[in-house]
Amino acid sequence: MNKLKRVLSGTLALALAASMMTACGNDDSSAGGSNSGTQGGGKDESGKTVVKVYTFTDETQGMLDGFLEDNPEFAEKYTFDITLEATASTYQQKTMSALASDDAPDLFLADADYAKKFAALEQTASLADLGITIKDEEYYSYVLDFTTIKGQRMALSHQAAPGVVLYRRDYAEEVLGSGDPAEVQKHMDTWDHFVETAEAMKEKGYYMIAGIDELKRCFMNNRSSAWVNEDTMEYQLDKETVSQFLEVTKKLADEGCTSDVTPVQWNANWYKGMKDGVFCFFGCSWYLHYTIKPNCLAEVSTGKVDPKTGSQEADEKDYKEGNGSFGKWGIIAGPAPYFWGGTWWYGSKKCLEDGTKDAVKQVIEYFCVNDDSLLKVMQKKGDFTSKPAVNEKLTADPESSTYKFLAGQDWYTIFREAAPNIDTKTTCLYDDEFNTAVDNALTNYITNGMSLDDAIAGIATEVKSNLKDVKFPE
Amino acid sequence: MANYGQAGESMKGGYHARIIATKVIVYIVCIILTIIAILPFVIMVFSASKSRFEINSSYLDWAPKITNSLAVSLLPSGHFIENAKYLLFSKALSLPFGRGFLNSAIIAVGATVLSVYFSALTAYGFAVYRFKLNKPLYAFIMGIQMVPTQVTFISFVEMMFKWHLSNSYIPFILPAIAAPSTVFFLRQYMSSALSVEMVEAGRIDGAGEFGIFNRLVLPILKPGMATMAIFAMVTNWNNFLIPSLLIDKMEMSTVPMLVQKLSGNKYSTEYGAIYFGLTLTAAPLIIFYLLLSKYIIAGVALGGVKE
Amino acid sequence: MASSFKTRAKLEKNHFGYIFIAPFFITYFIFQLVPLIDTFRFAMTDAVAWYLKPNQDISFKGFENFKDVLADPNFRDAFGNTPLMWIMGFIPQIGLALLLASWFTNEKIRVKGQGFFKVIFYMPNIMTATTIGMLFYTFINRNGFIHNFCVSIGYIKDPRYPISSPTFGRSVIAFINFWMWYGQTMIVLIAGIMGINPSFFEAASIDGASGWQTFWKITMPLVRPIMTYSLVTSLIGGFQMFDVPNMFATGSNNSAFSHQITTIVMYIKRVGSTGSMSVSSACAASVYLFIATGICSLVLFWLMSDRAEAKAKRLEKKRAKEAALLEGGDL
Repeated sequence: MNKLKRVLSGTLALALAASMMTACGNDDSSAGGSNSGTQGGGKDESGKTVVKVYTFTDETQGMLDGFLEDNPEFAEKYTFDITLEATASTYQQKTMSALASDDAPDLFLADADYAKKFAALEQTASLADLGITIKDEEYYSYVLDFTTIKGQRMALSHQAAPGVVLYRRDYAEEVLGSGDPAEVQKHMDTWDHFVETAEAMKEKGYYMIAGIDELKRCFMNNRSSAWVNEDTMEYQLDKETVSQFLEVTKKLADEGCTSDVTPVQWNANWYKGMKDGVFCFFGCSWYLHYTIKPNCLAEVSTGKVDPKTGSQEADEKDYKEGNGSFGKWGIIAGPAPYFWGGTWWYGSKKCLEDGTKDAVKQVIEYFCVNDDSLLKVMQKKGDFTSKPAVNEKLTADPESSTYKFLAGQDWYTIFREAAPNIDTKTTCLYDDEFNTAVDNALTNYITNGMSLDDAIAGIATEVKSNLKDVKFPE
Repeated sequence: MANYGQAGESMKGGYHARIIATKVIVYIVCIILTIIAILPFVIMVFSASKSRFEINSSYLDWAPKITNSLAVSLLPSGHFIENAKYLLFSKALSLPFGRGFLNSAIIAVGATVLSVYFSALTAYGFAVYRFKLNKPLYAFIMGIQMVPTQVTFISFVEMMFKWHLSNSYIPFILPAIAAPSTVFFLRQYMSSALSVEMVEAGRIDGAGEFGIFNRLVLPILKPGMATMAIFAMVTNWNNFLIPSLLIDKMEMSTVPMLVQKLSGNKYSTEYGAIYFGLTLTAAPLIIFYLLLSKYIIAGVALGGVKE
Repeated sequence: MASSFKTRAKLEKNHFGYIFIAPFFITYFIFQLVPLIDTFRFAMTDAVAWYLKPNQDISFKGFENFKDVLADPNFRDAFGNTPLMWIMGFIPQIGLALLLASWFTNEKIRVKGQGFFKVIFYMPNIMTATTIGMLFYTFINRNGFIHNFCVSIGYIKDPRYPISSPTFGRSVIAFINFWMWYGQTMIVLIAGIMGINPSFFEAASIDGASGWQTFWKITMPLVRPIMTYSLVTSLIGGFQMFDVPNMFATGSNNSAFSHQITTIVMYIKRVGSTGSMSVSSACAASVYLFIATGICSLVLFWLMSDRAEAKAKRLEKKRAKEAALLEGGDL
């Protein structure tokens, strides 16, 4: 019994000691650590007002750090407490429940899949509430339409995310005879040509795409209607486009043109394909600098981790030809226009009351309204903005790593051409849920031997369980 | 009679051979089962020492094709520290495991102390006092033993949100006061360990009812309470479903929630770091278990693990 | 004098009983009984998660949710998967546990290092289930050693494909359940067998019964109540299965795979906390879970009741008589 007592108390002491040590080590890297327990609008120990931020992407931290550097007066008065949750379904549940609690976030962000859902929440403050005035004509209309509820503008995005196809120039040269974007586009302009190219790639031992979900965004954006009719809340299926998507993908998978026969987006093998072996990826503006560029590298400065900043991301000096597939990529419009995401910024009703309204307003204006700051931020990232006029001023800097990544191609031209075509007719409140159901249909059709009709019918069956306010045909 | 004895003798010879054969089989089976029990943990620890390239792409020339994949998994490498740093400090992952251990410890210890103390109190109430509703209420406790929390978790979570108890540990610690199976166990335990005479003696000495319980009865119940404490500790440490719905702050996350974040982080492909994280969560439990295995096994034998 | 004092003291003190048990019942009432009642109440309404609409008007819907949930193929899948995965794990679990228990308690075999084996076999049981789930998930995932193994033996012709047999996911979950629980069942059974009066075994031994005969004729009937207890508690636990399959489903990018391992609790969580966050439908599903669990418990109580006990006792007596007779006959 004595041993038992010793062990129990020893375990407790050890757990406490270990946590103290690690917690101290962590304080430097987690910005929110020191503010934990302080509500939005409260003061931290240095007397600054805490602005609570909920986000789904680790990009936000860097952006807000940059914002503080750029606005020293703001930094003297306010500090950010950032909560990051990268899993889409968890992030939605967490943000909604937090919004209803006493400890609500002041500022929160959303991805396109649930941007509309967040705009419709009771606790979301409109731009007018926040005192932000915008000129509608200065934005791509989809950026605003996305988050307009009953005529009220509820959020703004700093990005527009026109979809493109990123391809390997060296493979194109070998298989198609030319790596030039205009030439390659000719081999990729329709789905029939796309499949032919895929077969040619296969002959030479290259995969056309990574996983079976690669073409999903492109096809889904080209449906004739959204999954759910917003007025009647009825389920709508564009069977033709969905079948075409399943059939094209199955053909590619069966013929060995995909590196994996599972959905692999955001999984290890997806990133692996960016380094070698896969001909093209369906990406977009943020995807270019945020996803494919860092992940095409085979080596990242020997993987050293700086405990202070915690950075293991690629260093500028890693971006050089010969490291993975860096410098071997080109960019084209691809078989069909589409878009992928965007990042919308929302103020909560809480921020109107707790004294952080001005802070939230300043942040949103900095990233989404003021042309100068927007240009500065996005030029640095190599990203594409939600305002056409600002995009006109974005220039591909020949010194930048993105420019070198694309072997000297100016990617802005292609984005500028694609962006005005984006519309919101295919988006609804529940796109996130439907995307999962479409993945389900894919796997059922391609690997589980289900018939095309059954697989498509399965989409409605799948979402019926948790979409009780949508009417499905009997 | 003599014949019978001889038959017995010859039977005995074959019998011995059979016993030895059985013994051999028993040990072989036990050794195989030992390997199956330990292997996943061994692979986990070795994989935690590998870089992402080694995990994805190594191949051993000397190993036969069929066992190659296993052999590769059992090969240690030298990236342990690197993975540790990545897991704990990198921007992409940065999971606060130190805080997680502390948080899980707070919940586990808090819930354990409450459940064991108040269960003993309740069990004592039923064992010593002859009040009118003693029998029916005890039967009630027996009955509710079988209603698991998973049946009511949705409305429990709703209630906690409505009471603004999200991002708080109260929903995981306070309800532990009502632990029917612990009451049941301790009530059984008391019937053998506690005598009414002792309580009477305490009363004659002029001790109050709570004084008797705290000073005389609790020390006697210690072994039984310790058994319950171990299992309460493990159960609460591993609790996942309800915390995962009610806690959304990284710095308040418990260990099982951080494990979920290891897989949920779609931006990470650092399998070495993921294995390291798993090792980190498994190691304290393994040590705790090996140190207390004697008591735990005894507790299981008593049927104490039944929730 | 002394005795009258005792009675009086008892009479005076008995009301303390209520004080002692009060904390339990107050806590139970607030944190378990109210949610239980709420579960039934919500199930009859159209309530959605409170945080989605804090000021919603909730209207009564009667038994509509129950009908809807029952008509939902996903619910029926979940309700089928859960006991299926449980039984796939339980059969080998109880079988192996029984075998090991009979070996470990066999006086003639006298297994050395029993303590060590018990400790090792029980170890997976106390590990965090999410850790176990994640660990096994990385094994079967592409590049995991089990996936690679399936490729090298030719079970998967093309390494680009996942392991996608319709029973594979369930088998993995069942295996994990088996792996985590057979040690526990074994220890309980050993305790049960050790509790059997040694004279039965002695009698059998003198009678020249083989180990096999002893096992079937004496051990089995006497540990049957314990086995029944294990079976029913395990079944109740099986209905609550969540942590491990949930880990597989969140980790998995193969949604059809996660489909075959969806359990009732996973379904409830999905309905109640994603999409339209229909707490009412989730509660209706919870009520079905409650009923399933309740039926199991009733069966348990029935089996464990005096009736079963009396039956076991009768059996014991009969065996003892037989053993005594045999003993006598031998002499």
